[in-house]
Amino acid sequence: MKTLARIQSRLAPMVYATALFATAIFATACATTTPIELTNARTSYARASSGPAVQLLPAELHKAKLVLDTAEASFVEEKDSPKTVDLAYIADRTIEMVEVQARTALSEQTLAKAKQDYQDKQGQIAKKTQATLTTTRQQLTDAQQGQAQETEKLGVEHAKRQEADTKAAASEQRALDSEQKTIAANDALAKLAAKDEERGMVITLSGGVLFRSNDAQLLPAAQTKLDDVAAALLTNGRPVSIEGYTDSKGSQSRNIDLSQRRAESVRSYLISKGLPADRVVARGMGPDRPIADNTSSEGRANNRRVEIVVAKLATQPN
Amino acid sequence: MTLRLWILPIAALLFQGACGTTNVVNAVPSLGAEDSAGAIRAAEEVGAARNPQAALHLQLAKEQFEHARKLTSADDRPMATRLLLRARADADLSLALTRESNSKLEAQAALDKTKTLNDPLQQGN
Repeated sequence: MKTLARIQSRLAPMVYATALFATAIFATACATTTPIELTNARTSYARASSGPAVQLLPAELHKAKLVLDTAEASFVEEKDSPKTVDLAYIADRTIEMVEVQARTALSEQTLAKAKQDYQDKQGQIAKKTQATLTTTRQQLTDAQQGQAQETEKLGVEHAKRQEADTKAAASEQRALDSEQKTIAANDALAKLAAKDEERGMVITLSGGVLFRSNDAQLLPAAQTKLDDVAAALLTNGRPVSIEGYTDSKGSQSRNIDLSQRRAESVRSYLISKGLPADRVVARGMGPDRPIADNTSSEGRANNRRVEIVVAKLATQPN
Repeated sequence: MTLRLWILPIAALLFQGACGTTNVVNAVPSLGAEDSAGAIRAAEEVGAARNPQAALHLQLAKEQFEHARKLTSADDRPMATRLLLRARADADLSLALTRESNSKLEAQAALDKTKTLNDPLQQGN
């Protein structure tokens, strides 16, 4: 008996464990498993409940929850029946669709904002471009005005330059004319047998041709000769000194007086022909500076003379 | 809109379950068939076939729809009804996925367009 009791006490835990194991196996075999579709639907709803659908599509999410509730109710009533599975499938798809619609709404918001940003940016660029265009136009206008002023200034300068050129040409022409006149005057003086001396060009007119003896009145023949001299001196323009000379006969004072009056007669005549009075001086030299021997009549005739001295051109000091 | 249309078929499905009669069930499939076929067409029209995920659900919808059509006996009506509802759910999801994809593409294009709208006055030479 004791042995039997011992055996029973030893076997009891094993039997108990075996019974428990059998019960567990039985319970597992008989238990209703949650369909994967329902599990998926629950997971989907949990995910959707923390997603954008809560804010964007709360009514749609609620309706999806009602579909899930229908599946849950079916699960309670009919366990994992085909109807429960199908309802859970539909609930899962419905919840997923709400999530997709929420994401679509977000995309549409992004699209609307992007379009608005595009328009705003375009507007800003248009404004900026307009402002730049206005500035550029103003700069162009300023530049054109500046160019017009510059053109006007250049025109004035050109006109001034032309005027200066014209003046220079005129001046050159005058200088040329003057030179030609000088040449012509020198030629005229040369024709009058003028001698080039240190004091200037000297034209010697014989006293016998110009005056009667002891007289200071010019003879008619002398006037013809003096006309040629006047024409030559007019083109010359240089100071002229008219010097009267006599021979050595008679007193010194009388000869100086006669020579002075004769020189004055010649001067007056030349002035009457156009020579400026301030350019012509008359001097009576008397018998000074004889050019021939006063002992012979021929020599004295040569000494009775009038010399017209045309001053040399003033030379520039080096 | 889409969810509102679910209420009647699902209510009918529940009612069918509660009553357990075939008279009520018989009235449901025709309603589900039209809706499902319309949902499938709508998904096809927006280009679901070009989006892999949407194409998958469209294919499921078509298969379930075809399966439902083959169930012609009165005893199969409850299952046919549920298959049509499943087909409808997949078709609607396919449509939504396609619209989402299109919307994302459009939004991205708009963002890119805005990004590439360079200010011509700030461009270097």
